[in-house]
Amino acid sequence: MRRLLVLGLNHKTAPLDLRERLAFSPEQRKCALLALGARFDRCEAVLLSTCNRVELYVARETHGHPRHTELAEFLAQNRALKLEDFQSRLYHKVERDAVSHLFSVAASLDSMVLGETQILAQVREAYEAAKEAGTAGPMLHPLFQRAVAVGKQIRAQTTLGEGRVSVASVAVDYARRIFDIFTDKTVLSIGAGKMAERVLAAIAALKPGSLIVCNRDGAKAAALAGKFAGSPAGFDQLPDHLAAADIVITSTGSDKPIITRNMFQTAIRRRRYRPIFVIDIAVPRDVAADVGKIENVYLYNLDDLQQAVTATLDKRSAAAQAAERIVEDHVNDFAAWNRARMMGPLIDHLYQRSHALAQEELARTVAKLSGVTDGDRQQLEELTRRIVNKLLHDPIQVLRDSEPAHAPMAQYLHAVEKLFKLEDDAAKPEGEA
Amino acid sequence: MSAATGANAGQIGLVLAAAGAFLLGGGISAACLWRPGNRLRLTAKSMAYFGICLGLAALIWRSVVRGRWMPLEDNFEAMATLALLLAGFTMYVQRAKPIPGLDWFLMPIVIVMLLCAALLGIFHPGNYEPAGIWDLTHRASSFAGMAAFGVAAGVGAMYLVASARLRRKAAIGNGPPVSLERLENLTHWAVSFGFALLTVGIVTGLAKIMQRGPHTMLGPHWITSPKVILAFSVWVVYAVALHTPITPAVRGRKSAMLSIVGFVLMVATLIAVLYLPTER
Repeated sequence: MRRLLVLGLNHKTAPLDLRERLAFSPEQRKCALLALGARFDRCEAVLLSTCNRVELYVARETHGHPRHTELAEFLAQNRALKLEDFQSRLYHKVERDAVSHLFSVAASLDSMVLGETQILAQVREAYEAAKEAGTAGPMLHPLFQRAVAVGKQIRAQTTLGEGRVSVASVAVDYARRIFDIFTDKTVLSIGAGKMAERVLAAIAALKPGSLIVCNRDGAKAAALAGKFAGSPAGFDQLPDHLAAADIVITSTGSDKPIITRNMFQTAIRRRRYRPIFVIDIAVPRDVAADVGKIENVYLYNLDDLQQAVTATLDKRSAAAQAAERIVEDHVNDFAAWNRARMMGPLIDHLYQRSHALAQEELARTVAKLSGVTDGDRQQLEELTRRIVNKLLHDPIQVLRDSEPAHAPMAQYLHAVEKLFKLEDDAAKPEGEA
Repeated sequence: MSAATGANAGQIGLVLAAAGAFLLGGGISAACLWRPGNRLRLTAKSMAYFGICLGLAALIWRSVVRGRWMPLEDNFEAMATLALLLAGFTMYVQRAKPIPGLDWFLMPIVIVMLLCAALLGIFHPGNYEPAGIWDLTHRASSFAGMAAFGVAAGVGAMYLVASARLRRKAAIGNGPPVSLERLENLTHWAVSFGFALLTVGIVTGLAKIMQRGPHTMLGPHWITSPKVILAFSVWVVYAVALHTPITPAVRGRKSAMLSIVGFVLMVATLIAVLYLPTER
């Protein structure tokens, strides 16, 4: 019988510096999985390591190894850390709780940013790595396949992953709703601060035709322009660049608006009223509010973008309940499926063994008797068969009807194995799903 | 127009069923907003294709009954053909490079056209005169042009909604983005295409008048007939809309509004042809 457990820490239990020290690169993960497999025989393992969590999913024999303390020691040794440094930050879950945790992780219900999309790919990647290292077995194969399916279903059937959750990505979304093709567009960044760089990086990913960084400090402008293969420009050329730009990102530290309605009206006339997208992320604002009223000018300030982010987060929180219900359904399904998968072969084996013993004893008894006809023999065989079936009926029924809530499934089945000595030649559960 | 022989009840039933299929498809497509899912999306698409099949079946049936294959021989056929052209175009765009929500703007026009086809089929079939080459070209180009203007109007309306949402800074969903630039390009393309066809329609109409003199249905004072005046107005509106890339003043929302106004005028022209008194 296999027992599932997960041991790990995440952004809720451990600070970033600790998570960084415990994180595994793909190569390190492969080595760790091989080392774990070598140390603990017949143990399955998947190691999920992201910037927000390090989790080790393990399936082992019910009373076998590794225990969760051994897994914690293994992590400490592997990452060359003292166990005391992170032991209190660890959580461990078993059986149904472990399944529920993995499904929630894959569904991005346990992520720092609710509904983020990366985690599903990371879960899949962790599973693929375990497959490659040969540490995923009959328990973890179906578990992780189901986890990925749950993640996909939630993405398709709920709004958990909808919308953008950063100002830069919201700006990109709005840009894509104004322009279709970016290769013939000009992006102008006025200011060269951190925030401008972040938004510029997101917009630069759209591969615009040209990119200009306009800043009072020429060196800063050149440095930022260099990062995105753009060209620097001085403030004196601003009116010309405004007329040429299709997307303007502005983030200077100016006290007053540096772009007024009059200035923009000239620019929009010069650009023959082609639409222009203005992202004003400066506080105080760089662009006068009435610029947004000009035809074909789409002006968004930091508040507008932040509101879109907040709206997305609110929407995701509302969708989380629906996602949790889907996770719960899948956890129940998986538990039922796993229970049937483990129980079936065990019950079969119990029946076979009991009937074989009964037949053996019957044969011995019949051999001692004289004058037993074929008819008598058939009657006796039928009698022993019925006795065995009746003896086994109640315990098996109880086993089948038992609620996993009362006793962990694997422990129950393990007890049956022990009591009826089915361990040595027990039928193995079916292979990979 | 020659003696009227209307569409039979079966053909009208098929056209109404097509309108129903488009309506149902639109409803299901709108339901995807609340319950996004591939099954619903697929059902909505299937309903639209089913509607096109029903409409085509009605036209084929009509052709078989008449014994001639060229559509556009009466009001019922002309309107149903126009609706199917528009529906076909919508489905083509949604297949080639989808514009989420395009069907919500174009399918209502298709449904109205199909309902008009059914009503005209019952009350005003108006079989057209036997077609010569000028007639045929005139009808085909005018109706195809109208379908293109229908597309321009639908996409123009979509542009206005999208632009208003962006100005309102409305939250954006997760679906594939539809940019104003793409909508504007599509409107421009549809207007260009429709304008070329309308020009052919007007020229061939004039050629017909020149050929027959005062014996056309428009009579000797054809130049002042509502049909000619409206057709020319439509031509002027679209000529302006067509020049948006070089006429900055009518860019964006104004261009979208012009394409809607043009389509309304085009519909008015059609109504003028059907119902306004003309000299004979």
